Amino acid sequence: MENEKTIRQLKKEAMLLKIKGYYNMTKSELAKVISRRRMELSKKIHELDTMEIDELRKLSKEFGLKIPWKSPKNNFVKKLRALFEDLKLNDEAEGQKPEKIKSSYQNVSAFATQKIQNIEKVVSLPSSYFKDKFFGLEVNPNWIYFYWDFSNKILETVKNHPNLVLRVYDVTYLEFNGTNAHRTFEMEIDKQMRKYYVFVPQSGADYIAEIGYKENNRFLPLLRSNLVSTPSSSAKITQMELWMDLRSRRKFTEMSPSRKILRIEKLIGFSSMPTSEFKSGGGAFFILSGRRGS
Amino acid sequence: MKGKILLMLHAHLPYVNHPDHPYFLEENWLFEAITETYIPLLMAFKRLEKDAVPFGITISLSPPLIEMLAERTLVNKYRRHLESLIELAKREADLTKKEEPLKHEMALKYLNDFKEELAFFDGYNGNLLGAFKDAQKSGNVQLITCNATHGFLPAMKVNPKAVHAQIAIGVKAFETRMGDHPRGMWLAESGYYPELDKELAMQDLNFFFVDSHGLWYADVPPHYDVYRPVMTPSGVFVFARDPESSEQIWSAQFGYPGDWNYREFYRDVGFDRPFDYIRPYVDPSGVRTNTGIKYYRITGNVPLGDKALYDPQNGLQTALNHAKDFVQKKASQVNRLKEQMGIEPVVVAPFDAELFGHWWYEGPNFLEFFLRESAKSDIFESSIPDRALASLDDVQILTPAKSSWGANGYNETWINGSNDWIYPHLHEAEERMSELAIQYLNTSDSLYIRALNMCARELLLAESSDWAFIMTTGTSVEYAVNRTNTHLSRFLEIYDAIKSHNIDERAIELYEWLDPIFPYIDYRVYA
Repeated sequence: MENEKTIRQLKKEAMLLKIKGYYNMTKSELAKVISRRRMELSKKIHELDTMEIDELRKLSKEFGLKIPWKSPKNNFVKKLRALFEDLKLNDEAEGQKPEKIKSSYQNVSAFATQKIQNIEKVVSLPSSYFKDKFFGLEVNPNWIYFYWDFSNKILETVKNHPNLVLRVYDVTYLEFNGTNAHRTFEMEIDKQMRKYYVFVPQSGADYIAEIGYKENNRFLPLLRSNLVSTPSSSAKITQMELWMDLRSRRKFTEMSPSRKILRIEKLIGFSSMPTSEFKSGGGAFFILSGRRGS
Repeated sequence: MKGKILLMLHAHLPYVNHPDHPYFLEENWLFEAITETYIPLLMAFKRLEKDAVPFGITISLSPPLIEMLAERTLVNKYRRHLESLIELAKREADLTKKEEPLKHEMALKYLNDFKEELAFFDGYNGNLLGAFKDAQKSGNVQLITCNATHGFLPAMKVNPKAVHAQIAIGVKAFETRMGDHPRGMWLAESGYYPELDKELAMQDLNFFFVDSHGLWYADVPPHYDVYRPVMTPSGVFVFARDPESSEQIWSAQFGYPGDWNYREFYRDVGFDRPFDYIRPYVDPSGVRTNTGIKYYRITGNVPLGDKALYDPQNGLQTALNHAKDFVQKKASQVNRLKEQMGIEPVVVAPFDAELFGHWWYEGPNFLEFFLRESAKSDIFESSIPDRALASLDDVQILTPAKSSWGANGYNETWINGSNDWIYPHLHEAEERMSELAIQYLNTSDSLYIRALNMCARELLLAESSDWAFIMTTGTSVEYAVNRTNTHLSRFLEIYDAIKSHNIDERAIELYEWLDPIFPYIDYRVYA
């Protein structure tokens, strides 16, 4: 274990590994750079064959190998490999790293180094998949989040219109045919927008949205969303209850009783309108409780 | 018959595993939870069993947590972490000899506790899943699973195949790692919508949990409010959260963990000690972090600098008093409900497991005291879902309402302006995953199979509700954004490689090493 080595041993090791500035480092820094250096080297060993002669020369100089400048490439490779293997043998004898890390690193080698470096750069995702898509997700009993994406074909159409129109239909208990909604809501939106949160008046209701444009005051839909049902926010009126006898697996019905349990619901209130919905805090993430149960 | 109290601890952390880094800050989430929550709980269960105390408690082990506890590189890293903590505690024990006696006493307690934990850990050869399995043997602890990567299912339901995969893999993970079919499932964030129960029934799951209003606003009002399990039309039992129990424990104003005698979380030697001294035990980049060694008590509403020293005896005594108080409150609640209902109530109290111990230092002691005291009660017993269900003669059938246990009870924590950008990408990836699974349903090319399985892993990792949650709370946001981007872009990369018949085996191998979750996954679950 790295921790059990004295600082002197670590410094010696760092020196052998040609780590710059090791003499000023603390014990834990040393342990860290040594382990990183070892990983680097265990990858390098696989790259030797494909290295340019200049790189090989630089590397041998770094490790103080005395190889004639003009000697052939494979001489450099051979000597460097021998050196690295030496260093690595020590490594194994001292049981430095868990086996799994080492073998995996050897397998993925140079390729991995490059890939991992790429990963550590900021990755970005496409801003559009250029597909026609229109989805709604209920946020709570009164809000729906809609987002959409357009294929090139629709983008072409949209180009000729200054604004888009978002329509939301209340289709609760309906087979929606485009014209039979209980209520229809509409708003104009900027055509650069790809998402919108909309307020809907009814909890426990079904909504469908369309996105389109207007021509001569006529609404022409381009895309239709999935059916979005807002969650209920109140108890249903009492009706028949369905039960099952678990011994006989037989179902039976019963009239709902007048309420047996007095439930006092939580009253929410503040001395002034709150500005933020979310509590703040610090520390590890799982103590930050956006979760009600906790 | 006695009433039943069902304590349900949801043990979950997002899958954080960076084998390409010798140290990674966010891996500490797991390490802290093991030291402060999981091992203390497991040790408490052992003591209860040794003293032949009958008790009941449910723990949902989320598959990401299961997978991390089964991952040898992480487990090895954890052992080194604990060793270094012991080393720090030793230095603290030395240093505090010259400081206040309470500090020294506490330093010795840390040293002793950490050493005991290491012994416990080594006793199981680092296999804490084995320790959980052991705890289950007595029948006092019931373990259940959770959906695969804790994806928030209400935001996924536009892709039913993705939901199916989350449920099926959640079951498979538990079966593979725990060697047993799980009887129940904790749905991530208690996120439920009608129809989801069918998916659970298909996986032969016997029960799940919803938040209180899941029953209150159900298609038919619940006969016994949230105080008896019900059954959905597809035959799955449902337990609903009792709002009173959560309130009693966690209320910011009146809850137990805020007691002034309890240990203060935010005063940590990681920040209090001179930098040169503490440096080896905090982030190697030189950023101060919490170490877990803390000497102060909450004290009151005073600035961190004015906190008084923690007295462990007082802390423990307070936990005992709170446990007794909670037993009394539960007894009177059960009596009251029994009178109103004419039948004994089943009171369900779910919590995030990590809050016990990590945040509420005395939490595991509180639980142990509570279970001990409950065993003496004539009015109620602590119990588990299997026992509660076995005691039912009949059950009301209803369909719970859409609900979650998030702030305000619905989906706002996981769908809001800070995180909504993830859904177009997640939904696209989910669609593509099903497309691939159908297209390559019968392939026998092993490289394609590996690539397809890797796609499934990347998608699942991107789906964790934790990323959206972290973006909402505003701490560690960069990490959450990065993880979402990383997994989705790996997914897209492999997707393109498969579609263009240009799979680079080295890339697959690399990703298999970087994201080794669910080695037994079968992408066909998406077909």
